[in-house]
Amino acid sequence: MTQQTTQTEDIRELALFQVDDMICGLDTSLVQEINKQTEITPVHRAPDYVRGVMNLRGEIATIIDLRKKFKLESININKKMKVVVVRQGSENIGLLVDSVTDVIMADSRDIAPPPSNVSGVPGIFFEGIYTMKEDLDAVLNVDELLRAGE
Amino acid sequence: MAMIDDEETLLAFVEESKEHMDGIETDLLAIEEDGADIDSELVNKVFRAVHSIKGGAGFLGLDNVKEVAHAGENLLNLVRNGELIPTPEMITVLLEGFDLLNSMLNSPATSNDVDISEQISALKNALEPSLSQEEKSSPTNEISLGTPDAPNLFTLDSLDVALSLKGGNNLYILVYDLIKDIEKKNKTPLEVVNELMQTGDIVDSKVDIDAVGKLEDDSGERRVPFYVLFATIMEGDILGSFIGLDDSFIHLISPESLIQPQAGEPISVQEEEPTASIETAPAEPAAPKSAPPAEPAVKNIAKKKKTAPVKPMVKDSSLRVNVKILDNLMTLAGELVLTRNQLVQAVSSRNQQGIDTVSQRLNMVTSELQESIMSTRMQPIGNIFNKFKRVVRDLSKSLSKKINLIIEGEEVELDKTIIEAIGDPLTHLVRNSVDHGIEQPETRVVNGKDAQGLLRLSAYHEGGQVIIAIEDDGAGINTEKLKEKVLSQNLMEQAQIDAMSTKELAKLIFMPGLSTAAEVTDVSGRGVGMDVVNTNLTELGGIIDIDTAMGKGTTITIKLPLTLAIIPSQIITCGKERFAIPQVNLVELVRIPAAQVKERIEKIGSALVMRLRGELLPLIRLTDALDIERIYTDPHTLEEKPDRRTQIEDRRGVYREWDDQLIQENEENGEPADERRQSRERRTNPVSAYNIVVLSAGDFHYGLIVDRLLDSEEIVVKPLGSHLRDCKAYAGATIQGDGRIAMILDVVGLSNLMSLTTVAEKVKNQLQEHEKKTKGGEDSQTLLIVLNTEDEQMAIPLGLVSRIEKIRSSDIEITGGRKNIQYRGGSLPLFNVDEVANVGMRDQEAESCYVVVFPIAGKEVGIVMSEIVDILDTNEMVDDITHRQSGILGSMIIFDKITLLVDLYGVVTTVMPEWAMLTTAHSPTEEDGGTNILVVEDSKFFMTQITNFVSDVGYTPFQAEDGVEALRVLEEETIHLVLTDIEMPNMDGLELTRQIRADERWAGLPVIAVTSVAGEAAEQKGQEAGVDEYLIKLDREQILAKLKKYLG
Repeated sequence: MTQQTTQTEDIRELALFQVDDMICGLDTSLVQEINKQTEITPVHRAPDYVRGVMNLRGEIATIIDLRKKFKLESININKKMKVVVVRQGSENIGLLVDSVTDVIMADSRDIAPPPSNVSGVPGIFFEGIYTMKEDLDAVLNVDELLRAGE
Repeated sequence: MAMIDDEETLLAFVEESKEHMDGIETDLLAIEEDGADIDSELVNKVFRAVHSIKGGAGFLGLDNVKEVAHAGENLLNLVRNGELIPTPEMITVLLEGFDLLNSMLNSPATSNDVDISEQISALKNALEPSLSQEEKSSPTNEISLGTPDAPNLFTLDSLDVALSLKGGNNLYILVYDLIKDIEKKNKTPLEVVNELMQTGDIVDSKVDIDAVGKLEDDSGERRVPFYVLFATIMEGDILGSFIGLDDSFIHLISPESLIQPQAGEPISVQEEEPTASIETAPAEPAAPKSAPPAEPAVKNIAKKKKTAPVKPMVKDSSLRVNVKILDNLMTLAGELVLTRNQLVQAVSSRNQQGIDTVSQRLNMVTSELQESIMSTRMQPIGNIFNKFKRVVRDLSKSLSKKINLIIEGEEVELDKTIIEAIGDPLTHLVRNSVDHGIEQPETRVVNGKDAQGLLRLSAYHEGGQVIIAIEDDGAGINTEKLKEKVLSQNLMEQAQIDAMSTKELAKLIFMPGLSTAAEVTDVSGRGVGMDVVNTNLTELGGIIDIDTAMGKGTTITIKLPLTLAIIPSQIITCGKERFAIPQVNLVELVRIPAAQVKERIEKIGSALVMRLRGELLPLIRLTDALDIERIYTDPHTLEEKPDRRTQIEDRRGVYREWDDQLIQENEENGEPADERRQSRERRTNPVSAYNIVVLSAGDFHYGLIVDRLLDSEEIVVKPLGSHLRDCKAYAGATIQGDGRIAMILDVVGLSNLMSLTTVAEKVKNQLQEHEKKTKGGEDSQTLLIVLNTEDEQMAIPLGLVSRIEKIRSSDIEITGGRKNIQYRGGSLPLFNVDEVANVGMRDQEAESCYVVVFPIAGKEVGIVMSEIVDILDTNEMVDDITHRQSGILGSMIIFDKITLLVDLYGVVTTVMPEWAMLTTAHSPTEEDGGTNILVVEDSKFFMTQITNFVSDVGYTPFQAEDGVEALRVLEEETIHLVLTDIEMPNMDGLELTRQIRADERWAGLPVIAVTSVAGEAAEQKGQEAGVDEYLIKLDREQILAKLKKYLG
């Protein structure tokens, strides 16, 4: 399930979610589940973008705060927040997002390469930009996002 | 050709071979030990093992493996038939051969590139003595064997052929068809090989791949022939039915055809046998490497293998599980399903009682299931221990030492992962023992030891852990030399070293960059290793301990957890989170009441330390270590508030609010200000106590301040994700019963995080300074520090105390004018120091008090104290003049306070003089006279004490201040018994005893050591020196009893 194969298909299914005022999309094939349980155990002394760990049906999932990853201010957990679980290697990683908005079908030809930064967030985190009717949607580059050390 | 490329087959072969190899080493060593007295069962076992390997290897095209196995097999065959007597040299050759096999099996893909000529020729040379002249005459001649269809299938050394025919064997070439005879019959080639081996020997085997290519064009029957050169005692007609092969595929090679043509006249003979063709070829110079026709094909396979490396073998190791365990697991799984059904039913019908029953059942099933699954992972430690037979044998040979290796507790089981991980550290330790520990035989004899050294490896269970001990009776660790080394390499300061005990010194060998071997040998002594051993074992949650005595030997003990997957842990809280601390790292839990924080927690430089039984322990707060916001529970409102205190010993900061309130209240009540202060100090609120977890981080201990202590639980360790890999503070995480996550603290990681090692050192330095200040030539004394009244501190020698009990004041009864308490079914008379001595009165109103119980005149009595402060070792001078009075022996300064040393005996006898009569009544009186006792003691205080009570009961005491003087007195006077201190200047008590024991004039003279240094080790030392009894100073009862025993 690499980026190449999904890119060659014409229609991609994107899960849309909000981080601050930005709408991000992630290929649904990469999403394991979207979890509304947000009981996160903080891990002290962890890298600052790690919000903590979560009990995902008996496994420990690391929760990454996308806001922190995008160098934004972290906010307190609220009801709208969700955890988008993706798989990296043999572990589950949760991406903490402000809210999950929609799932759309996107024509991959409409996905343009990303600018060097998207509303202040480094472009390396994005695979491309998809233009929706009224808004722009940045498609996340999961591999880069999850790279452990910066 | 799927069959041969089949990784599964290769894997199965390697695994099976490994299993065969496992036992071989031990067996070979046993064979060596047996010598001429051959245990044929054992030899057979090894033989069969090698044989299977050979068979499989031939099939898979692992030519090198096959050849080495084959050469080894030949040798073993002769041993089996009694034609060769195993010699150590032969066993060495075999062992080396098997090493080679083993390493080739580890990477089968490259095994054919390994140079095996050395081992092959060594193995062949070892055969020499057994061969008859005719067999020897042509050892390098080769014979080609083949079927009529395929001549030259096998090229064999004529020697091998001759060997395979021994014992009335017939030689056959069997032609299997991989497709028809094997695959279609749902067999695996290995099964066929194994089947064959039950009836005979596979001399050689080969798959003819060339034939495949040819036959593939043919649309008719496709055959992939698999040739087996088979030696068996069976006749051709029954063989076919036995192995399920049509007679036409069995070719007999007649023995006549195999007879060698005369040496020197090599001629090629093409036998026109109806069943088989044989060709004898002249020997080529490079005999083992000659290429028979089919070999290139086999090579091709090997090359093909190389392009697809057999990776999974390294990654996913598999495990053999006893079928019984599997059956048991199955049963338990069934039970689990049943329990689930019950649970579902109980829940849906809301049957509370049912749920209770089911949960109980679930609990049981789960534990059993856990146990069973764990047992599949458990492996006997013998798996590792037995490897050491070889290690020790080889090492002792190369070092020309004689060593008797004793292995005990092989059956003790440990988790697979642990077994795998302790192999290397253990090997290192064993090597060290052999290399450095056990001396050369000559040296041993000179030192009066058996020339053969003893090395004992043992394993046993203790308290849910496994203890592994490596014990040798060698030279021991030269701690002096270690000291020099450490100093010369500037690894530590002189002062630090001086303060260390022998045990601590011995532990220096775990310091990085240290080696004490005078010469660097092949085996060990490169200055790396022991520290690595220590680190590795600590990582496993193991604890290593060393006990050594110069000239006597060394024992290294390793404590290991049974498993790493499920570990008993202490759950604690800090801030709002829960954490788990592995029980193996836990030493003790200490709770310091708020009132004692000031006395017990101090600051040295920037480091916090705690006073624990006279030792200083570095302290860290978990909140600091993890950067958690500190909260504290307001003792008044029980609310949790952020704690902004920076200094733990500064109690005022926190309590200001509360104090102010208190002061106001008190002022309203009109209480004077001074009392206010006191009442605050006295106030002990349970919620403001400190909970300290004392942890062991390898070679030092430290205290961790946590908020609350919860239960101890068995937790399941879950790994942390890659993003948290750099967090050294955690060893993993676990999910608790309520679904919440608790992080598992890494005890060593935490101490590194806080740079605690340096703190520990600082503390040590401080301690030394402290000790230097207080050192006054007195020996140290373990004292129980108590309070009778709030500000009058007293001390009681701990050695005299049997127990300390906390009682309620209301339980004290007054009977016959005496205070008593009902205790253990009898009455315990109670005494107060203030009854006798002119000291403050104990607060009788206090709710509870402590009773210090000790024996006197054959019964137990108690002295009542209001509070217990501490237990500590001190060598403070006892001032026996200033505060001397009845019931008080003297005074000393402890914790900057004048502390009265209580005379337990004095207190009791002053109150109850008749009891003093009881204790002396059975002692000799004046009429015995002339019983002279020599008291040797350097401390004036103890000297007075001892001489006083010795003369009290009617003996005549003589005094000597040290060993030298004592010997002089012994020369001059008739002495009936010696009472000696141990620690003394000029000549100590042990040396004195040795001198007395060495002199015939004083044969039979009883020597009683009286000391304040109690403990088994000290006692043992005393006994080794020749001391008859080892007693505690001031234990008047015991001393008098022993005097009576020795003097009649």
